[in-house]
Parts: sequence; structure tokens; C-alpha cells
Amino acid sequence: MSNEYDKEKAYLKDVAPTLFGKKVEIPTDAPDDYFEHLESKIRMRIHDTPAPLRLPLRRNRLLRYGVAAGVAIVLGLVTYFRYSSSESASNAIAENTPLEITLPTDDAAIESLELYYTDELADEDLVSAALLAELSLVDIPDNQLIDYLMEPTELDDELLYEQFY
Amino acid sequence: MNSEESDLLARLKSNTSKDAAFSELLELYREPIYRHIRRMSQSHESADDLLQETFIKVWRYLDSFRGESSLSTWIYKIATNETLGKIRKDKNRASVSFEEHHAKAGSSEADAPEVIVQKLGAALDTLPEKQRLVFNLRYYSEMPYEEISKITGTSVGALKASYFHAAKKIEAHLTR
Repeated sequence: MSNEYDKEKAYLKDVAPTLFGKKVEIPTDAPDDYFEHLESKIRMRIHDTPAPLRLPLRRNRLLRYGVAAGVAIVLGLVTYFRYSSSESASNAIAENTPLEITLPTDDAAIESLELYYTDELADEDLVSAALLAELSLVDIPDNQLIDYLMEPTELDDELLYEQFY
Repeated sequence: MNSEESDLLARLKSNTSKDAAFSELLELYREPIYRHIRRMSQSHESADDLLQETFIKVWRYLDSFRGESSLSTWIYKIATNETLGKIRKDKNRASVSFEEHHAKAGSSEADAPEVIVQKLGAALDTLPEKQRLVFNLRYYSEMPYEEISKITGTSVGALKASYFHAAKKIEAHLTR
């Protein structure tokens, strides 16, 4: 065997003396006469089993590209129609649904609403306050409500932007 | 590919000489490939089936073999894929380990070489399948790493590490 193999073996003899001191052979003997009949068995199986249908390489490749392109087109169309149909469906729902803001009727909620309804509050804040007042029924502390209402909103940012630019 | 292999391949690809060349190829490779499969599959019955499958595939796919590796490497690769495929398929079934198989065969006399062989078989059973494959190809078939690399699709460096690691593990098992 090659030099490289012998060098490696010498090194491994130190690391694994039992394994490389003397080669440990696992029995791999075939039964007597096994190889004599092997060829006829193989030829019989080749003859009996139909060969798998294989297209010539070029046609095969073209077919693969065709299938890949087809799949890509179908996926594209499905995504497009799904997106556009869900968008139009949500538009239709939005168009047909009148905007409803339900203010709380319960006394405690109205009381808390009055607390925060000042002239400084915009319409959006009124809606927020109404919603929060509803939430206040589950005991949201007042300071949290005040913080929420005093927080700058996206609308405020837009207004600032318009003022300065 | 050496000139003998090139010549054999040319005859295998020609319709007029394919039959005779296939007999020659079988004569040349049936025993080493059988041993290679047998070390992985551990029973003659499954090794027989896998060997036949391997040569049936060689016959069928000869036209698509482009000679990028040697003919023997290609055959080993087919045999390896067939064997690993079978091992993976059988993993879910209750399999008999090497140790059990040999114990059942009544060959567990207490003489030292036999015990070592059994221990080696048991140690091989514990190796991951790729490590075991590399070990078999290097330790038994004494195949160069470059050729093993073509069969397994693993870099030479990784193969060396894998082989050393397997050898250490087996040694630990043998000396237990």
C-alpha cells in the first residue's frame, strides 16, 4: 500500500494498538458457490424488471425547466389573486360598514370619560378615552389613562411635520 | 481512470460488446463490492440483495456514467448509496445487532480473536453510519482518501478526522 497509508497506520498503532497491531477481520465470506450463480441471478433480474422510463438528458432538462417555470407562474398567479381578492373583500366590507362609535352608557365609565374630556382633547382622543373608559371597568389606574392620553400620537407627528417642513 | 478501466468502459458502452464486458466487470468487482456491502449490512441475505441491486443499477445507468470518476469509484458509490438507503429503511424495524447476530449463530466461543471480532462488530454498531462507512473503506478496503471523498462527497480533511475518531472509539470499545 502507499506510503501515506503506512505512515497513518504507524501513527494509529500508537493511538489504537489493538486495532492496528494486527488487522481485526470481520468475517465477510460468502457461502460456497455464491459468486458462481450471481451473474445469472443478476441477468435474470435485469431481464425481468422493466427499466425505469428515462427521457434523454436534454429533454429531461427542458422538462425540468418547464415544470419549474410552470410552478413559478402558478404560484405568482395564486399570490396575486389571493392578495387582490382579500384586499377587495376588505374594501367591500369597509365600504358597506358604517363607522360606529359606541360610547359607554354605564355611570362609572361616563364619569371617567368626563374627567378626561377637556377642550384640549381632539376627536381621536375622545374615541380613545371612550375605549379606555370601557377598559377602566376592569380597573386600569388613572395615571395610566392620563399617560396614554398625553402621549404624542402619529397624527401629532404628522402635524408637526407639516408645520416645520 | 486507468487504461484498463477506460477500455472496459468503452466496451460496456458499445452495444456489440456490452454483454461480455459486463461479465468481465462482474468478475472484477463482485467480491470487493460484496465485502464492502457485507461489512455494512452484516447479513449475507441483505448483502446479496444489495449486491444484485448495485449491479442492476450499474447495467442500467452505464450510459449516464460520464467517466468523471473511476469506474470502481462509481460502482462503490452506487453500492454505498444502496446500502445506506437500506440501513435507513431498516432503522425503524427491529434490527439484530452484530453482537446478537453472531451470538445467535453460535460462534461466541471464548477464544480471544473471536471475542475481539465480536467487540469490533459491536463497536462498529455504535458508530454513526458515515463514520462507519469511512472506517470500512479505509481500514478494510485500504482506499485512498481522495477516492473515499468521491464516494461519500466529504472533504479529505473531514474524512481523516472521521477515521481517527472512529479508530479511537473502536479501540476504547475493544479494550473495555
